[in-house]
Amino acid sequence: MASIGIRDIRKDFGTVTAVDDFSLEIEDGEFVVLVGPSGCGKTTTLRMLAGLETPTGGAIRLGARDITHLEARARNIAMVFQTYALYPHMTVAENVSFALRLAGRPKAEIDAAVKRAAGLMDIGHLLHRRPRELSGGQRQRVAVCRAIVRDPEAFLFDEPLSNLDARLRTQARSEIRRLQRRLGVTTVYVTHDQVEAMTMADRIVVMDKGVVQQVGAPLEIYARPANTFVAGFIGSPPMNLLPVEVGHRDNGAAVSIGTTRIAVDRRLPAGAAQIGFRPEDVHLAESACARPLALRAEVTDAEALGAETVLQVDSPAGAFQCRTPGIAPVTPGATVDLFLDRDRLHLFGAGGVRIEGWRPAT
Amino acid sequence: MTALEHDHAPPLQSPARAAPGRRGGRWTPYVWLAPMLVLLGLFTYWPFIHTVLLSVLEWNLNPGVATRFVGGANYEGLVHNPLFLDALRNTAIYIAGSIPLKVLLPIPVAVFLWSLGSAGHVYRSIIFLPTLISFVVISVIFLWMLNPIFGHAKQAFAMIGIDLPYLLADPDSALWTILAISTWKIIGFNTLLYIAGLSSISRDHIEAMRLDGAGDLALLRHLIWPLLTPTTFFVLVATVIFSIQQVFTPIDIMTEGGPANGTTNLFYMVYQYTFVVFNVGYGAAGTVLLFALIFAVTLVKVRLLDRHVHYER
Amino acid sequence: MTLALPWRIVGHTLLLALCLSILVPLLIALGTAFKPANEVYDLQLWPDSPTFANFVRIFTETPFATWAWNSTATTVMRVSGQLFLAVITAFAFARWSFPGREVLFAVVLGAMMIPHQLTMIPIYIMVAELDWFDTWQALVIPNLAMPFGVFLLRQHFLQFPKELFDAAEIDGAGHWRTLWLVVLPNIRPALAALTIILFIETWNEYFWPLLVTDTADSRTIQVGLRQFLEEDFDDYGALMAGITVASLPALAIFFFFQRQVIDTFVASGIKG
Repeated sequence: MASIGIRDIRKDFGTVTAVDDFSLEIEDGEFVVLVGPSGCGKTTTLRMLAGLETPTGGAIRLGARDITHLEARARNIAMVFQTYALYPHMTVAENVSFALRLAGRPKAEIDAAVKRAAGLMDIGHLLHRRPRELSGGQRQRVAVCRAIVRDPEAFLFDEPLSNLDARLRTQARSEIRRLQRRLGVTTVYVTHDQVEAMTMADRIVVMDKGVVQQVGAPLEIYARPANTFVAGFIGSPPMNLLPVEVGHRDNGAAVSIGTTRIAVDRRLPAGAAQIGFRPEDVHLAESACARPLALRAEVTDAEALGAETVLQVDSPAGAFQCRTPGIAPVTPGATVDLFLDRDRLHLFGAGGVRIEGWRPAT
Repeated sequence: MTALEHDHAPPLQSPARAAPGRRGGRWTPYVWLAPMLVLLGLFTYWPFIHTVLLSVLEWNLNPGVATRFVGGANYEGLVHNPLFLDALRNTAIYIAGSIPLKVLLPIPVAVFLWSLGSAGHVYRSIIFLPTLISFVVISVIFLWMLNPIFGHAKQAFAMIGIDLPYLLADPDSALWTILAISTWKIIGFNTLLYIAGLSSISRDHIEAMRLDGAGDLALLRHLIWPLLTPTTFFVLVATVIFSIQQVFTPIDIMTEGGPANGTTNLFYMVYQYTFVVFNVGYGAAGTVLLFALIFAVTLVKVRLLDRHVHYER
Repeated sequence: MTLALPWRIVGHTLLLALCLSILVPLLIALGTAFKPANEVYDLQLWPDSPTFANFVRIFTETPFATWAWNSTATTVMRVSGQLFLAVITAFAFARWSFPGREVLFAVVLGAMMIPHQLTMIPIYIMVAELDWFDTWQALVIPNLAMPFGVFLLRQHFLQFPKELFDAAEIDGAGHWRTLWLVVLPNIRPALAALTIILFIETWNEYFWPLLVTDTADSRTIQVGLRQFLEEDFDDYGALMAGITVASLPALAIFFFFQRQVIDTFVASGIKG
């Protein structure tokens, strides 16, 4: 078990930059999730950690060793692949023990390690089957088992749950997390699924177009997205973003949402900005009573999910989504009065970057 | 808040020595390729050039005897030689005769066998047998059957009152006998090639055409024949090469080119010049001419093979 | 698809005729191999009193056993060499990208276009200079490079799932062990098919052994059979026994792997 230090690694494929100066310190035993849309560079980053790609620049440290130019097999890192990559011609036991056999460990030691790992993953009864005789969920467990049997310094996961159906995925998610806590092995986990990222990670790294957008604990990222990309990527449905204009007048600076003006710090430059709020921070007003930050909007669609209802609405300030608990008594076409939670507004300035402390002190 | 949470990493140690890793081993691919490339250089490309060089020299294969540059004289002498003309004529007959027998005849057989589905399995196994058996063995068997004194063919024909002449004694009948034997060897295999081509036709196609009211002949004309055309070209080209190269064995074993050069072909002529009368210059010149012929055909074949393989998947 | 009845009758008749014309010569040879000396010239297909005497004679009174051994040994050596070289070459082409790859691949495939006839005279001279006449290496070494095998195996390697290569690397296998322990076991059917083709081709080869083997002890089976004819060998029973033995390996492989053998030969196109 070891910490991982990544400093300014980059990867160019010809003229295309897949990963651009990625830096991160991962603590011993930490569970870090790299998340982002496909093509964001998360898998390339993982493959550089694994030793399957050579960085174009930068350095990677595992524990006290610089492993940047070390071959994959010399790194003592285990990896679980998206398609599991089980060797089709070997039994489960042979798959799991392959690395140990290659390393020339004594047979008794291998048998013991396989037995222990199989016990952890509850696949002891499958050891003599071949991969094609296993279900998707069983294959996934074998893949994890193959990773843990080596007692590696770090685990790498490359979207290991994307081939499972929804129910199994939820179950496997918590299982992997439990296992990792129990073994205490430093883990880097790649996914495009922000729910996986939110539920599993100690820390999330959000990436887009090869560049790290934000690093932080799940709830921190949720509460304070660093830019509009993160705001839109993390959370389902995503944060609403409405274009606003920062205007300066004699009595101070302000932005307007519909007819409501919100005072902003007068040091903000005038110009285009975006105001953001989560769908759950918009509430249906019981009556048309005057509330601060009230908006009148037309419902264009209502998705009743039982426990909550997601409304698509169209307001003079723009279209957005709103999440209300229970079953909302509205149908498409209805006009509703909504109000925003004043303390849960986010402001993004030029380039979509989050602006902190934009509210004037009262 | 900054987009990047920057590092407070401990200083990295000096960069590890560049290990010859998976991508680092620049020479690895060349090392793996070297044996094949060396062998091809030694036993294919160099001899190829060497043959062309020999074709402009006069030499009798004796290392003690000096070679003499004669330019195009070998070619000139060769093409005016009656043996060459016989060989050329016979090669043309072998090829021309092969087309109806080895290329066209298998088509109806294949269509019929294909229509039987898996029920035709036994037929398929039997017609495949000659592919497995060496041409030497086949030649010996036919030589034995055609034996002018006690051959089975002779005896069988005698029973129905026909006195079968010794087919290999007459130049014309000898040529056609060898053509027939080479047909015997290849016809089943070509049939199977056609069946492979036909197997790309799905049952859905057929049923769709049947629903449109197509009869057997319409099916043949509008579905089977168009889909069989690429296979036909492939079989044609492969058979032409086969007829140039492989007939060597029955010629050598059954007639040695005779009688009166009646069965020799270009390849057998080259063999005789080079390894029987040791006229290396003529042999090499003949080889180059033969190559021009085979090369033209092979070029087409390799293209088709590429297509054929993709087509199979 | 089912044809109309008249067509079916025509088809079956035609095919039966074809099959008979194929089987009868083979059965004549096989029958003669088991005939005692006094029955050899009879028209009858199968002997009244079958005997193994012909087989005993050809093995004990002629160098046939030596030829069979030469054929077996050189075929095994040549085929294993061809396979090994084709495997490592195809692997290098499929697994790595490196400067010159396309050109080198074209060089390998281009060799398929150069027929043996074009290279035989210089190779013959080479064999003479090396003093390799009548040796196994003359039969084996000039024939080791086989571009068709490279072509075929490369296709299979390219289709091999990339993640399995990665997994093997993570598990600590170098290229060599990845190839032998992970890749090859998974393309066993293709390898078996290629082996069968190569084996039958080599076993049945006539032309090259004819050129480079001359002494009785160095011949292969195919050239040896011709030798019988040259010497006006008149023990036809023994000759047919020899033919039977010479055809046995290919027929045995066919018997056990019927479908694969047919499919493989067909997929590889004509190999003669």
